[in-house]
Amino acid sequence: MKTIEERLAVVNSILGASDMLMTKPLKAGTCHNRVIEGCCTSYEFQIDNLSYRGIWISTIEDIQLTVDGEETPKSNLQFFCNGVGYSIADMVTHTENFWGARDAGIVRVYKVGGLSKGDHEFKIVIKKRADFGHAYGEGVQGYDGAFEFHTPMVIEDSCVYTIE
Amino acid sequence: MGKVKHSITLYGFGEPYMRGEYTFEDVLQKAKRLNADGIEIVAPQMVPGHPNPSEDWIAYFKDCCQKFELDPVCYSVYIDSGKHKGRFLNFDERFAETINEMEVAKKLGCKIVRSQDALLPTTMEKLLPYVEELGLHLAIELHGPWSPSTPVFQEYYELFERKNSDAIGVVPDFSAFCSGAPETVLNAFPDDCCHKDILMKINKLYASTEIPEEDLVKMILAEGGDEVDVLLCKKRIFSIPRDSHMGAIYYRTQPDYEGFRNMMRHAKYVHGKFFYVNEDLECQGIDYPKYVQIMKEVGFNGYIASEYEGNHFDNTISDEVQIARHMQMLEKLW
Repeated sequence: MKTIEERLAVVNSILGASDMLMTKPLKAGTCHNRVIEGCCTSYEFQIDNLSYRGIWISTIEDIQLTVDGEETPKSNLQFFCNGVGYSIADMVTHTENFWGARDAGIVRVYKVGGLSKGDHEFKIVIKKRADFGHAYGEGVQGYDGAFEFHTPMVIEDSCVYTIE
Repeated sequence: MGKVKHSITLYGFGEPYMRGEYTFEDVLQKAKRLNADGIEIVAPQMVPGHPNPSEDWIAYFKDCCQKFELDPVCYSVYIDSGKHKGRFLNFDERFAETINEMEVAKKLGCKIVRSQDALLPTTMEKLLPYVEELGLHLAIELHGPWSPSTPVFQEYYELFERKNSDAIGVVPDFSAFCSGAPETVLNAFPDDCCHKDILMKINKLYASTEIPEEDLVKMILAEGGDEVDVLLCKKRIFSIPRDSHMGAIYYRTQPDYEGFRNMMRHAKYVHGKFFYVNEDLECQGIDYPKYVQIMKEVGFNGYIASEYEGNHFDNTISDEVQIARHMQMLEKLW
């Protein structure tokens, strides 16, 4: 049997994995530069749904993206769902858009020239409130006690995307 | 198929469906192959365009049910209290959104609409004439970590007694009636990272005795276990806090059998939640023999949904084999 430290590391890594996510947020093979008439203003990739069911995009409180060790300015990010794009900070106000379980969720990153050919390391941190819970009340009444909606879940993922 | 009316909640196939490995028709085909009589669909999981699916999809769903000869038993909907940052849904939103969901359920041919306790009894009372108009049964799921004695369910019972209507009720889910963890609880952990023999013994003791947790921890150490086993025990075998997040399983050595019996007076549908059924058709941690006995005694004749959630513990186990075993277990016990 391995040492206690080695075994604790294994156990903690398994315990730390979210058991409600049925998918891996950074969807493999989806990253590409957007080329318009030979010009490139941005690149895009897809994230898979963040629950065992579809979610309201208003429950996404933040998306932080780091590419090749450099954090992408929030003002250069947009999230697209059902054909509509939103700035990250604005997503919480859009309670009309339901991101279906198998609908594409697209993150667009504005960057002149896009990404260079080859491998790029991506890290993403998404903060998300629960869509539903046991806490209840009328409007704001009793909301202070609804702990499941006050502390967003932190979802992290990393991968290498290859630009052909 | 047999003595029990079997429903399969398609949620049990949710993980491969979400990953795009199963199409919707694959999922229905699997339910049919397992000899289900009917199905339950989790609306925000498998209904494209939810909460307002197209008429084309509705027609497709009905064609599929006809093709596979599956009764669309239950439409599962939610009260998405987290939708608006800084507030719950208000009464008017819960009321109108539930009517919308019920109208979709009606179009799909589902007879039961399963909602959540955050709907609240006052909203359900105002919805009652609309449920009756649509000829549906609107039911609140009792899910772990809640139990029959949780205050909001007492308020629901008061409403059911006062209205005495078949149109409203509850869906008991066995996550609210677990005594302990399934035998697969440690499957995700490699054998050489803990003392599984000791932990599985503790698992059985935790589910069947009132030995305090601190004494069970001492027992682990006395039998040769160490801090890794204690950590695993606290995280996976001992129950989560009673006020934990929705959907968590709260283990009770003595689940509320009488609460289950009383609840069955208002139940037309039961969520046969399970995490693992072994080759001997036993389901450790959920006392199916006792619950089936109670259901028989109260004359329950509704559907029992086989609701497989074992993928949380081990996603290498065949969902189809598990659902088949669960249905066989119910037939054997009934």
